[in-house]
Amino acid sequence: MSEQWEPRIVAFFCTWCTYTAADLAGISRMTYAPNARIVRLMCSGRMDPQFVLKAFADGADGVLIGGCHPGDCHYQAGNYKALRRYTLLKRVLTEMGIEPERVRLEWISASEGDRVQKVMNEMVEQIRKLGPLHLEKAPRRTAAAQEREREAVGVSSQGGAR
Amino acid sequence: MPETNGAPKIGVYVCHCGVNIAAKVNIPEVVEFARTLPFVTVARDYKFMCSDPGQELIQQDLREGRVNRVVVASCSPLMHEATFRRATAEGGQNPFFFHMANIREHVSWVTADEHKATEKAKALIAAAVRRVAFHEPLEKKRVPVHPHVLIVGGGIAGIEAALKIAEAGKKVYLVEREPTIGGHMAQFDKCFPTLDCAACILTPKMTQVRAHPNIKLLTYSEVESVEPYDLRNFKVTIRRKARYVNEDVCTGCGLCADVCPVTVPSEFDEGLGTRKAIYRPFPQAVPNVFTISRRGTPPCQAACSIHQNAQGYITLIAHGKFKEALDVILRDNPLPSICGRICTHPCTVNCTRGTVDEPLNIPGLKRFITDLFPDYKLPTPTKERPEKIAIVGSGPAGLMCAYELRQRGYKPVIFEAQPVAGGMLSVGIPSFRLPRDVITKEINRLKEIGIEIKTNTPVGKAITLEQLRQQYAAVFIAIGAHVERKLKVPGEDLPGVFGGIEFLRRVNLEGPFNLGERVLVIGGGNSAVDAARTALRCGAKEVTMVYRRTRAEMPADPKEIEAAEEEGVKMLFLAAPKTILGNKETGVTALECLKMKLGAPDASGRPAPEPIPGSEFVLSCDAIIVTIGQVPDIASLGERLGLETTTWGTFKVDDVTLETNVPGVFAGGDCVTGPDVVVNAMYAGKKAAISIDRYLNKLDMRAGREREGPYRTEYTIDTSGTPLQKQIPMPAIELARRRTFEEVHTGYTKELAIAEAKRCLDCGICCDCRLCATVCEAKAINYEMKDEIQEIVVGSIILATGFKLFDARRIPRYGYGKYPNVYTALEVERMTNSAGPTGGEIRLRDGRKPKAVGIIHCVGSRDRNYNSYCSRVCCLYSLKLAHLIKERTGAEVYNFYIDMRVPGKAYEEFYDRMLEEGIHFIRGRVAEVTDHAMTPDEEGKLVIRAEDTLIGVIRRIPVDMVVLAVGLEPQADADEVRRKFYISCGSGGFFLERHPKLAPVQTFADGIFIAGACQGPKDIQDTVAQAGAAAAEVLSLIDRGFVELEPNTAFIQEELCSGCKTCIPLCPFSAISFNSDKGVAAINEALCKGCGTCVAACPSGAAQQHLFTDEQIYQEIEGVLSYV
Amino acid sequence: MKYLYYPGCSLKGTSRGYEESVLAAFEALGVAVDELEDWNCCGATAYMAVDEMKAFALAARNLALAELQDGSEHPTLIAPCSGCYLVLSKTQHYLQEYSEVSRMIDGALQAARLRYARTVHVRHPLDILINEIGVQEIARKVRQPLQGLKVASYYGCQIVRPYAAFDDQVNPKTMDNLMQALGAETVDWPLKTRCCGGSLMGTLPEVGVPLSYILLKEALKRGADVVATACPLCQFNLECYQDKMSHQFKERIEIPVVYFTQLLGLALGVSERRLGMHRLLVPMPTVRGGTRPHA
Repeated sequence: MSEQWEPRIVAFFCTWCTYTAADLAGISRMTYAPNARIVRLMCSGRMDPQFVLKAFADGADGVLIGGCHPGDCHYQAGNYKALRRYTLLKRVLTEMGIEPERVRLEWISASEGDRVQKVMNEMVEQIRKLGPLHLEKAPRRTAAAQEREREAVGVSSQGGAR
Repeated sequence: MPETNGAPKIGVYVCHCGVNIAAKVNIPEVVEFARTLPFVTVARDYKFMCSDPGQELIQQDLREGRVNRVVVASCSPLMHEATFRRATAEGGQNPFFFHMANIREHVSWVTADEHKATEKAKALIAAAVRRVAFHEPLEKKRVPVHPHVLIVGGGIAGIEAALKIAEAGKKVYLVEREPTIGGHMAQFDKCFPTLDCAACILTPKMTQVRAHPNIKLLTYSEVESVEPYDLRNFKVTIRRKARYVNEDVCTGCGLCADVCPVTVPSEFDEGLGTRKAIYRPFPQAVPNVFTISRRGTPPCQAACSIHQNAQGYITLIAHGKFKEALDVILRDNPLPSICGRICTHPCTVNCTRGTVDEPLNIPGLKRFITDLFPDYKLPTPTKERPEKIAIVGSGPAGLMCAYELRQRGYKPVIFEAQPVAGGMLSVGIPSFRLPRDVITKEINRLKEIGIEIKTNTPVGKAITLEQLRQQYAAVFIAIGAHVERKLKVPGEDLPGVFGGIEFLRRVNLEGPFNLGERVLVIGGGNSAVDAARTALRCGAKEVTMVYRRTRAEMPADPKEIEAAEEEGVKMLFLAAPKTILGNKETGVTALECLKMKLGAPDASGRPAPEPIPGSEFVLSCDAIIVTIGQVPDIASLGERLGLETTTWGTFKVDDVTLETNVPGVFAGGDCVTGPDVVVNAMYAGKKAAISIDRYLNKLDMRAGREREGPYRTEYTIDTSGTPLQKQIPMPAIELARRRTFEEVHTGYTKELAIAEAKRCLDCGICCDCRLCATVCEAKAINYEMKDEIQEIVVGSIILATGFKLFDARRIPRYGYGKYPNVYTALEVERMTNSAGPTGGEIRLRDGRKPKAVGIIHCVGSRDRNYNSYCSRVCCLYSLKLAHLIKERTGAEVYNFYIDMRVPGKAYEEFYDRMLEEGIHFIRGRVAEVTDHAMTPDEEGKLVIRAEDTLIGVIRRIPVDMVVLAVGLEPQADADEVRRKFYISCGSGGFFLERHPKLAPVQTFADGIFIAGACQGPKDIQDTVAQAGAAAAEVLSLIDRGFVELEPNTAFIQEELCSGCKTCIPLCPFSAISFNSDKGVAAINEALCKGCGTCVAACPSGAAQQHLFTDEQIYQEIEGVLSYV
Repeated sequence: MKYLYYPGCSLKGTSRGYEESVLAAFEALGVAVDELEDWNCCGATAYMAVDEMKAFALAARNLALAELQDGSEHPTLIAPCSGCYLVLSKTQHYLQEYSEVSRMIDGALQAARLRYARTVHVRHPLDILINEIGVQEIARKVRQPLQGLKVASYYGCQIVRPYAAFDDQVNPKTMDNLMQALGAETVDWPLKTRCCGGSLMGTLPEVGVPLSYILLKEALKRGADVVATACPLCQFNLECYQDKMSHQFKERIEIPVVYFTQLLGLALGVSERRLGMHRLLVPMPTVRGGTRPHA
């Protein structure tokens, strides 16, 4: 990847509002910066702060979190939980010397395709301003993960479950 | 350890989606890349993976063991996940060994650069591949669907859907917030393009709904809340608003409306016509029953301490129903002819009319009625009870208490120290304000219904309280406040110095006596004013009131002050007595006063007067009347059973019950409050009576008495456009004659009373006159009716809540609300209807036929400032109205349009027909509607200024009538409603469908469907079609009988759980409990909806979510980042 | 409450009567106003048309000076001239809305060693009179009610468009309410904000003059004794070209066109001279004792 640097962004979208909005943006052919990769969650309440840290550790320069507007959560209050964690997380990141502006939480309802386009572009610009996150790259796989992976494969070598 | 299906052999299938993906994403490159990913054994591409051959590809690879896990890179999982899971299953694997990469909606459709698109697609596929390697086999849970259906909204959509479902033999609840079903369609006259009569096609359906055994029709009702009943079904709470008419008994005969005196604008006729307070929106209403509109207790009635129903008798007076008015008055007031004269009428203070010009003269109207029927009788008690109750004092408090007790069957006995009954009424209030015979009559009426009054019987001398207590079931002390406050200045005991009450009593009992030429009255209260006016009538030449504050602070009734000044009483403000000059022989000769100035507000909130040192001055006079307030004469009662008193020398009682510290002994009126107005004394009497009744029946004396006494109403009334008309002054004898004790005001004549009564604004709408009940043979009317709450359980819900019209006032340049002959389309629609306000005649406000009419299209639609969308129906209903107007009036009709939008079967033909009928079409948005005439032929017309874009000129078209084709908007409470039902609103605020093309009546909430204009503007044709579609969706659900739920529930890995309980409060569905034996959290799968909030919060990673385990998501993250 | 006051060029020149009457009226109402020190051109319409950014810079300097001079948290700057009012408001709006403009203007101000913290509230005297002082209060202070005077309130285009900060864009009412509070009658006419011809008077009189004519003709037709304006240019156009109109349209067009503040001053009992009414070309018939003109 010797070509000039492009921001790498991971986006965690709740399936009911923001992910649907992203689909709508697609259906409406609204082009936007391709830097973000969307990971679908059932609810922004599922958003574990570790996902953000993990993303940074694996080389992301920014993380975007999308949930339903306050009061609209399909699960009543998941988005509020997300908001609480987000606020704390920003402080943790500051402690770690990561600019908190690298994480952004957005409420985007299922009908706001245009908003997805806007936020995606803004986010990319924002990260471009901040520049690459020179984080010491974590070992490709955590020991535990490797263990689990071996199991996944290993089990089968003994002939599988059934 | 995750159960697996052997070593991951992952097949990656990349879809071209025709050119949708292929045109942007370099498919061969992507496929090549896929092959290099871990565990990938097969990577293929195909034009349409979702097609049968496409799915067959996958199934073959599965069957022939080439792959055991599947990744499809195509459209959004929200689109085809189900399809490919099925394919995986049919290939012999668990359907959840599958994951989807969204490279259409999220890649090819939104990325400009082909290279970047391809890279992004690779990243998403890499993520999916990593993820799917960690997938586990899962089972879908089946949940039964409750067969009952709720439909919200009784317009044509709701009606249609309800009938379809009911016909299929399923139970339907149809909830409508208005008193009738029918919705907007019921207001229409004709329907485009066929011009058939709306009522003719709608009303049969409405009656079917009413008649259908499977439909439970809940009109005048609203959904309060919708809660999950179980994983799939709903518990719905419905508020059935009080109709005050028993729906099952009312025959719809309409006699009630005939007698109802209250007339208000008819919502159904868009305010062009009127209806009564008890009404039925239109003759074919379903259910065909009446409803009473009640806004609440009117402000006047609420402000009155005894809650006299003023609006009731005022409305009846306005309609010349005087006898009925009297009955309403007597409902809550046994002393109306007294109150009508001297009550300080707090009712008028809160009268809404006061915010417009002047409040009504409410007491004056009451007096008018009592004067009209001088020999009316009080209602006689309907039951008798043995208990006798002693009442000390025959003032308003005592009399009211006696009356209320008597009505409850008790035998009250009143003990009065004075030779005459009535207390302050008789001794304290001069006869030119309250003629004696009026008091006598009132008291005789009370005697007639069996109230005993012993005059000249001072308790404490003639009989003791102790004896009363022993001989009577209960005692009520209402001795008033008759002891004068002293000035405490030198010379106060000189001859010629009187106490105000002492003076008034003497005049009232012994007649007028000479005071001399110049009289000073000290004080600013009502009694002081009475004293001053009485002094004039005693022959004084010059009477001056001396008050230490200013007019603004005078406690006396401003009207009384005015009257006094008219009669010649002088006012001296900011002066306080210092010394009374004179001697035993000469009596009082002068008063030395101090000038005062106003200082900071005191306890009473009024600015405290402060003496200006050295500002003394002297007023010479022959008599001084000191009227600065009174205190109760408690001492006169002699021994008093150890009744507690306050520092102000009044009785100490319980605020709510008026009971003293001695059980069974109550006290109220001035002897508790200090000097106060009549109506508050009566209030005390009533209160005491209620307490005594409860006391004797051993009931809770405190329960449920919050609404007793004066309060302010919460609601506000829109008084805009009320024509100004000040209060009609009550006739009075001319000034010259106001030197005798003849009553000053002579009272309203019938004509004046009616005119004054007509000023009432009907704040409460229904005036509670209860005439309707008198004519209702079915006995259907129940004024005590309360809202009812009903709970139902349903498996599916159809929202058909319709639309609201754009408010044309929001575009002032079109002059709606400013120029009378600017109408909305629906108003004209009502005019064209033969059952409408004009009987089908299209007329201007002044009754003329219009010669030229302009119809302005797109009012509030296709306009960034208001609604950018097209309302779809306006072009066609404008054509329809154009036709009807031309047909009925022969007027020239001009349509001002931006574009004619007439798609749909037979619509274009309809348009052509209108063109042939000679209707004018001008293409261009209208700039303004104005009455600014620039040429003679524009005089007296409304001029429509618009650009004609076809010939490129600005045109001015003079017309008589302007019709605004207003657009359709979401209901005002659409956002509130959609939250209630867990659905979303799309652009423009209409309910959002699951998919614009493929799921137009579904929503993102399972089991909740939408139909009609609540989903977006549409005509009747499309609405009915959607209603059918929604019905079909519901029926297919019910017939299947169950739904399968995504198995994405959370679970606890017990060996990892530390029992910290972090997760438990987080769960919005209380699905998590704590297993105290094992010391770990436990998740009830039947309640878990799979949001994963608990999983995110679990510090030890014990909580996990199927399909979204930490590891699966980690893999996805690594995937998208491993390759960019 | 104390206010800053921005006169602008017109009020020091062609429309001195406006300045005189604004100041006299406010004084009579006991409202203190301080003239903004060292103010410069507001950047008015012509400038705005040629080079928007420079116009913003000019206006911004005035706003910055206002902050400096007032020192309070939210200084209020009264701009009686509609042109100034609009340009100053527009600048304030753009500085808050558009980062690009914001950045460049801050740069420009820096060059003049000025900072602007965006706190100034630009308001029209009408706004202050109606929403701060209030009609009741004004009515209380009236000493010479304008009995029987029929006024056509003419707002012009700029004080309600595009910013309807204190009144309706199509049918404004504040001036009418004020006039009624002064005891005058107001004619209900639909041309309250219709174009007076603006600068077309000078550049294209054949377009400009008819526009003014339409206004005055309608005012006369609706029985107005006087037209009240809130803008120097409107006042100028409507007053100075009446002869021209009379010739061009062969009918006598004669009606006094005054500043609404002059009528306010009269009602408050300020002398005509102090209100600069001697400067009127079409003299205002005296309203003392309610004698009606044309009667």
